[in-house]
Amino acid sequence: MHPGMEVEVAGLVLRSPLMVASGVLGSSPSLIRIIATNPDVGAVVTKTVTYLPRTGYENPTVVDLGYGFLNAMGLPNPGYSEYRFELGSVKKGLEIPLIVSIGPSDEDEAEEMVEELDSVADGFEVNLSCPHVENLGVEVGSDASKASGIVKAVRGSTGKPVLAKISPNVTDFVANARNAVEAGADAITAINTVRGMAIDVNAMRPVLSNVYGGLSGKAIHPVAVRIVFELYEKIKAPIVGCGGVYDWRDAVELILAGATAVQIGSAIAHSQTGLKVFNEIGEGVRRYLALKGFSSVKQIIGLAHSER
Amino acid sequence: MNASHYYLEATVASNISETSRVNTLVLRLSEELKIAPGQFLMVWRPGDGEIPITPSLTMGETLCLTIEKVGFTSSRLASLKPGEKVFLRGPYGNGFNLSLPGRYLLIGGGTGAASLTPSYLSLVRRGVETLFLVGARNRESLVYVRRLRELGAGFQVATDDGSEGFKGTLPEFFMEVSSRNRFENVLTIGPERMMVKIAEKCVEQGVSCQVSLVRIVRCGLGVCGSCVLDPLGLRVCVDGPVFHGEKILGSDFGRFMRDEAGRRVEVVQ
Repeated sequence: MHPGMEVEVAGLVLRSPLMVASGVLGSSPSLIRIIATNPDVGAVVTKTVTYLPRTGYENPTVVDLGYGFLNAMGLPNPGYSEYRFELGSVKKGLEIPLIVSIGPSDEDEAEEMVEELDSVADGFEVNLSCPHVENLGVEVGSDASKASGIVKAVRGSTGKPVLAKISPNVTDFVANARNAVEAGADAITAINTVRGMAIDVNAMRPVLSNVYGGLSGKAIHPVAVRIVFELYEKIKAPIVGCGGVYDWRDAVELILAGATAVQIGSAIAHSQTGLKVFNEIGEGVRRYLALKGFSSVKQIIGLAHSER
Repeated sequence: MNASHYYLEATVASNISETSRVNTLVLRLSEELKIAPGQFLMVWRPGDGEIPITPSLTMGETLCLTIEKVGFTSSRLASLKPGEKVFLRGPYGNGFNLSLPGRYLLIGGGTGAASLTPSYLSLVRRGVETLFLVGARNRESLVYVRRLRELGAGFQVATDDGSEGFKGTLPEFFMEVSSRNRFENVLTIGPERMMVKIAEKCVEQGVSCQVSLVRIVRCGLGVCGSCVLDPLGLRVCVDGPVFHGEKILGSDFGRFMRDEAGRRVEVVQ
């Protein structure tokens, strides 16, 4: 273990500031268990689970752009009650916090889901920002009273940390983040994917069956840095940075912008070494801290703001 | 694949009916595609969906896909007419390791006979001693045997009802054949329960066995987790689709898969 890597987000002590982002590596309990053995992984956020099972969209659901992924999976998941059963088997003996990502469409669903999932979760991330599913995600997140109602319901149903994941696809993301914090979120995860689409020039048709999707990966990193930077100045809650972290510089950049922890998703798939990308990033962060004379990653959170 | 576009364009040159449920599309590609035996392609038809398929023949700009009508997308693809187009991305995954020393026994059940053909041709071309067993429920369900004859392939047939060749299942035929011959390597594609039986027998006999799995593949890139084999956490799309039998026996192999919602469901075949 590396004591200098430890951070605390909303009461969760993480052995590393690097977390697995929601949506990658799916709902498989065995993958979560394998991931958790990696000392550079501080927490795992599960795939978003909804009230009812969802089969998601017809393929194609993902486009590999090289500099990122465009996806419209349509939140396929087995529904919260079956997922709870699977997570129960994972939770036993898991060394790191398991953060369950939930996508309720209203407060009643939120309350029921969180009450049921509470025994298998160390915390919750409320997905207020999936850009490609009707009546869920960003459609909920951009309706201030609805979003607020859901976060309040989650808050009221658990004593565990609640993160709210916000969208970059809105005019005023600060207002959305503030709204979630006022409703009881302990931390903000920023950002979810950026709306986009791809057209195949041979087929002359949109590639994704849903036509529109969400862009993740390297391409959106500067967008994430900018949003984390601004949120750090405008809200009091801790921020979990997410968006295009492929190497240690990307991770440090988000932390300097104000993120307490950093989520990694697309890089796992784009890296030649798969999950070892966490070790490469972790080592890079440690080297950086040593070189700059810091003993803990906590010392550099938001440092990019100090000259202002 | 050419990085300047997402998909490679392919035009149907002919559509050969293999059985009432299986067709082979002969495709002309807009450019050559390099794919190793056992790797798969994601085959897309706008509006009809996209599914993973291991080709049944690859020769320069000609590619064959042998497709069983299982769901909506496969039924649509299997019904395409000459001149219609499909779009391909890939290749993905790890194919068969054909450079292990010794003799090879290939066992293809149903459309597995077709998907194993590129491996068979590659071995034979290199002068490796190879025996190919193909099987189905009955003579009418045999897939790809006409093409194999055209290719001059030496193969033996088993049918459950004995309407052609050996009477019995492929695992039974495998036991019969391996009691008379010694093989160092077995490659198999077919119904998963059949492959489990073959892999178990290979382990007993100390024979290397490679199997090819089918799962719901969405991204094909190892990101989405829809094709994971539990409890091993292996992703069929990037860690497979070909696995060494002994490494996955005892797992969900032959028992469980994930449906489109990610629910763990029983493997039916």
